[in-house]
Amino acid sequence: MLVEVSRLTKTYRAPDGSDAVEVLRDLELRVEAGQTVAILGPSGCGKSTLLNIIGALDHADAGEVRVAGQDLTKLDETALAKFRNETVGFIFQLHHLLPQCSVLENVLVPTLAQPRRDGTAGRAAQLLESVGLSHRANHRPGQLSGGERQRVAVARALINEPKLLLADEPTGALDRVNATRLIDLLLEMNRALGLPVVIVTHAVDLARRMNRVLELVDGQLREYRS
Amino acid sequence: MTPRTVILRSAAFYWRTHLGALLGTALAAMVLVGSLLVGDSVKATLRRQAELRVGQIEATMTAGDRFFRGELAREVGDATPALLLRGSVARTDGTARINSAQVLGVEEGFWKLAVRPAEPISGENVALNQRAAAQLGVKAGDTVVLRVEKPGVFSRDAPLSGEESEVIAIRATVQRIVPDEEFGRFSLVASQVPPFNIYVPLDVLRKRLEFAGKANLLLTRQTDAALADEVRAKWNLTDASLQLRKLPNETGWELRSPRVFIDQPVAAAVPRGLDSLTYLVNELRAGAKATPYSMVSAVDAPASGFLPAELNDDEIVIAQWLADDLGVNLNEKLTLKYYVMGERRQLVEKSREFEVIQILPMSEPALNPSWMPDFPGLSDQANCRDWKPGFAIDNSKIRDQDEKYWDEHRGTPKAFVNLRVGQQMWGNRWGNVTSIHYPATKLENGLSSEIRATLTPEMLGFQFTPLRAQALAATKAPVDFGELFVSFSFFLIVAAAVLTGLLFVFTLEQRNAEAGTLLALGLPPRLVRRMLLGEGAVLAVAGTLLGCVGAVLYTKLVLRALATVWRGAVGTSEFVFDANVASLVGGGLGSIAVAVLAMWWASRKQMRQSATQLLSGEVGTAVPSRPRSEVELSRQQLRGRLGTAVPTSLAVFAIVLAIAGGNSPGVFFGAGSLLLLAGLGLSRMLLRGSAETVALDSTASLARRNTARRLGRSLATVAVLASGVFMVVAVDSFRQRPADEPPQRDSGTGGFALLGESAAPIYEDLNTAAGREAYALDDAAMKDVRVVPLRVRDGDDASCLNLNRALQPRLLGVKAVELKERFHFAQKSADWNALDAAEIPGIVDANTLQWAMQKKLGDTIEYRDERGQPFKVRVVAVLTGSMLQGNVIIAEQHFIEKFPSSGGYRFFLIDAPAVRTVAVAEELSRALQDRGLELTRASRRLAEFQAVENTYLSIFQALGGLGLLLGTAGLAIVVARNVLERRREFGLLEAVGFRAAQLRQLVFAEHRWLIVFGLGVGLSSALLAVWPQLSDRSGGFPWREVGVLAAALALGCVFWTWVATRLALRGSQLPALRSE
Repeated sequence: MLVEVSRLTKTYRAPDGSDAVEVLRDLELRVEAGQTVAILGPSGCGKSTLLNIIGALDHADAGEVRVAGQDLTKLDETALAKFRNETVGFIFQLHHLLPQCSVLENVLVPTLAQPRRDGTAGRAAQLLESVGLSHRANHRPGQLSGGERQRVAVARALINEPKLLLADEPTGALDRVNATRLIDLLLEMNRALGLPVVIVTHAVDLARRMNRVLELVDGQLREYRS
Repeated sequence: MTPRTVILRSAAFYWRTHLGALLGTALAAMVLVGSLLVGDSVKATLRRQAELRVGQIEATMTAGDRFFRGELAREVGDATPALLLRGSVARTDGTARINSAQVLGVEEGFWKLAVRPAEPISGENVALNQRAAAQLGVKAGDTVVLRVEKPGVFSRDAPLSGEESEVIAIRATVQRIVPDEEFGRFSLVASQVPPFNIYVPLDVLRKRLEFAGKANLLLTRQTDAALADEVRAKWNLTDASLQLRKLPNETGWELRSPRVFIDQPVAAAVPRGLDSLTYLVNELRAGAKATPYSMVSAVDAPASGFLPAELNDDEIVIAQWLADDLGVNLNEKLTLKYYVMGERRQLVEKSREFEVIQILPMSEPALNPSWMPDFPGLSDQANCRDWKPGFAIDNSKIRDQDEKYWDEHRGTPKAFVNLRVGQQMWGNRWGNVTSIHYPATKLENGLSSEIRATLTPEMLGFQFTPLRAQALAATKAPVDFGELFVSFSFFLIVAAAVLTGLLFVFTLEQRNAEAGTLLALGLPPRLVRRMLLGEGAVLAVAGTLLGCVGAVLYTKLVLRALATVWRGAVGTSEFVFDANVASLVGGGLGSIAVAVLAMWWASRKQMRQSATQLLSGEVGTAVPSRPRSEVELSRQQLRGRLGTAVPTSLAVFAIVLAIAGGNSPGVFFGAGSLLLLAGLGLSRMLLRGSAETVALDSTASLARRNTARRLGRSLATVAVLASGVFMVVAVDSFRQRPADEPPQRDSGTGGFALLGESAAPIYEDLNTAAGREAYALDDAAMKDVRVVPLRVRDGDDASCLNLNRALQPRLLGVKAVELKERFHFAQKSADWNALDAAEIPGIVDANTLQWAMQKKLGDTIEYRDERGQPFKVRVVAVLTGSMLQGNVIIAEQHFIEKFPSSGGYRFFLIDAPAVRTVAVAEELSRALQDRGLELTRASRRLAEFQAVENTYLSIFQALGGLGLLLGTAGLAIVVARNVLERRREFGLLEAVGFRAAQLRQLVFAEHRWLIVFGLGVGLSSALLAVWPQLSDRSGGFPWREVGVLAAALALGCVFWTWVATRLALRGSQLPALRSE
């Protein structure tokens, strides 16, 4: 099992500590290797929080989160950073590319955490080719379209050969055509690399293209029923 | 691809965004490096001036008030002789005058030693340096009148030193004006202000002063040690003011001195002989008969061969002539009346009774005139009635037989007493032997060599000075202008640094998502922080490089200001620009460090945010959450208590420190800084408190909450404002203000109305009728006037008017009792009686001690007495804010002990009724014109010193004002930034019905607290910190000025806030809402 989440709880409170809202409550999730999972749910239901916790960007209040055999609740900040860098690849709704760097350099940014790794430039070029942007390698993000930028973000997420790809509403800022192309790309990566993908989205039609479609309701996951 | 690549790419990509921080860094670097370059330039200027002052001279030989043969210079080789005297010089029409000028009798060799060798002055012309020419308004070809006191062979304070001093007037044409490169700045003492120099051909000056072949200064390219060796080998008895001559009938040799009295150390060192002391007594009386004005010799009786070996102290041996004249016989009593010189040339007549035990026949070989020394005004006179011994001779007492005795026997003593009793009666500080007789068996050359072998040039008062080394040492100014300007600019640098930090954080805030992405992609937080700070370091380096260019301009601007508007601080208008690589590198590295530190400090919180916070934009909201556990609650309570306790404790400690610490500048800044910290802590507490407790019931309460929203930013603004206000207000409070008339006795003027300095010494007591009569001073004009005279040993000017290091400050000798209760001491228990302690105690002005001498109470200052022997003056008390700055004051008795040859007074403190001060000054100036007396109003002299201090304060304030300007500009940036990043919020408020004016009011209300805290903290800490010192000063606290200043600052802040609000809230904010 690549991802094992059990009894996960996360609560948000008002600034004065009152009015606690339990967005995740004894949540259970298991993701197997090579699987693609979509998580649906209304805004504010805790989808992104769940993804952030699996991606070690946020902490759970209670419960256990194991990804690729690592218990995230027991890792310190340095280990968590290493985990984010090596184990998962993250795609955000907004691409968050560095405007000062070229497309190729943006893909290489995660490698900065492991400066002694060799062959990263070649791999970045390969990834750009695989996302169809090799001809844009030396361009700046500002010269790309929204869809192209998100494809660069996908390449960036894959540069360190992660074991899991997490995507938080990656098509949220894209038009229909570009959104479809991006999902095609993610599935292609899944097929080609056997890389499991967990995607949070509002778009039911895109979600249906995944192996599993889950729905977050009242802080717990259940199989989506249309 | 490395982190460095990202850093460089980011720095280049965001250059526009970084421009503010870059300029902030450049400003800090410009000020920091520029300040150091100011220091370099001042040092270079002083070095250049020192080079010009000493030219190629390595060493000098001076001889105090003695004169040696000019020929000695040629004998020692590569040296030139000179006469260095003081005098006055005036235009022939009398419209301009220099009372105290340096008169230099020089020959060709002198001009060759200049930096740019020049031609000597020809004929009977003179030359003036540029300062003297400018002061007199004369040019080459004009005529000037020079007045110089004819030097005496020995001190005119001494008894029988001859007629009153004679001032020689020399009328001469100015041949040329001597530029600095040709010794226009020549002086033996270091000062950036050249003396008034008048150059006269040495032969001409000697001729006019009837001082053939003499010199009192020797200049050479040799080292002082080599010069001393040469002089030791070449000097002869004439250089030592000694003469070896044959006794009448070749009965032996006699060592005597044209200075009448043989110096005690010399008399003690030379081979033993027959010592004698011959003196002019006023009267020899036996009963009703008296013989006037006669020589009496005191001789070592056992060694004399002609006096009874056991001549007792109350016994006398007389010549037959006297026995006949007085009709006195053996065993009869005889009374001697004689003058001794009291203080200030006041003659005191004393008498002593002796019993006649032997009468010498006139055929006795010992009865010869050789005993009489060469008393000036006596030995060269044909008649007794022409005698001018230095006191009034009553000619009516001189009889024909006295004239006949003078004709036949000249100065042959009429009586002899025991040497011991003679020395008791007539011995004085110049010596107690007038001749030493040696047997005829000694050969002249052998005896001369024998005498020379026992003496050293130092024993004779010759002093060898490494002039060049001293000049260069003096340029290591006591006040390092680099450090001074760095400290003056401290707040400006801090303000620039804080601004840099603020602007850098603004940039980072704009790029929160970028930092969040890097963290989300797994880059370790430390690496992300390093990359962001690395970007800051690139900015710091670029800004510093830009700042270094600016520093050159800044330095030139400051030097120009120092030469013009701030000239009062330095007294010179000629500065050489100099940039030392070490200053550029050191200052550059310093400013990079300051900028990086400021960026780190300002962004440290920003860099601690989590990836999700940064990505979501939820950064910097300072509203604290409620504690979730008991531990957290207790921690929060502890923080709250500390937040109250620490500022309060700091404030209390600061106040205690300020009260207990006296008026030390260190304590002042320490207490002020602590109060600032306390104030800032308090501000933080209040801002946080308002966010937690204020209910949201009005626009005003919303404004208060918003103030706490960006707590760090708000506090940085308050800190910059408070620091600037603190400095400007505190410094203005220290500005010296002239005291109101009449001056108080414990004020800086000592209650004196006038201060005078004369070129030539004044020997008489100007408080006595005799003294006033000597100068024809009008009694009516001098009514209720009292003059306190001080002896002067010239030295370095250690006042704040001199930028050079004062190695040996000028010494003043005064009677403590005459300054009783005058001036103000820093120590409550100190008074002028401290000068009468057993060791040599000195009293110094606080500014002189601290800045020019860099010493403190209890320290010692090393001097050399007139024989070159070292002695120390211990600082036993310190005057505050006095016009006696620049001098070390010792007791007159100690002064005389160390400088026995020094005669008369050249420094005067004059009490005069306030309404007649001008009339008194005019009368004294008229009467003592020939002595070159220059009078200054005491209040004016004090104001001159205060002007220096005030100018430094002005510099400090000007730079502080710039810091404050930056602070207020920073406030504008904070306001604009706060508004711009909340445009959607304002758009919402506008959407729900707020008017534009209401929005502006809201923004202004938010920021007024920053102004209130900034000004309040700065003002209160400044006032509290300086309160103890201010309460100690006369004149009270300048409330009005401080009030005006505070009001002006408040208005400035309000103006900037208003401008920033207007600009940031231009037009509708609704588009920002729509873009969400």
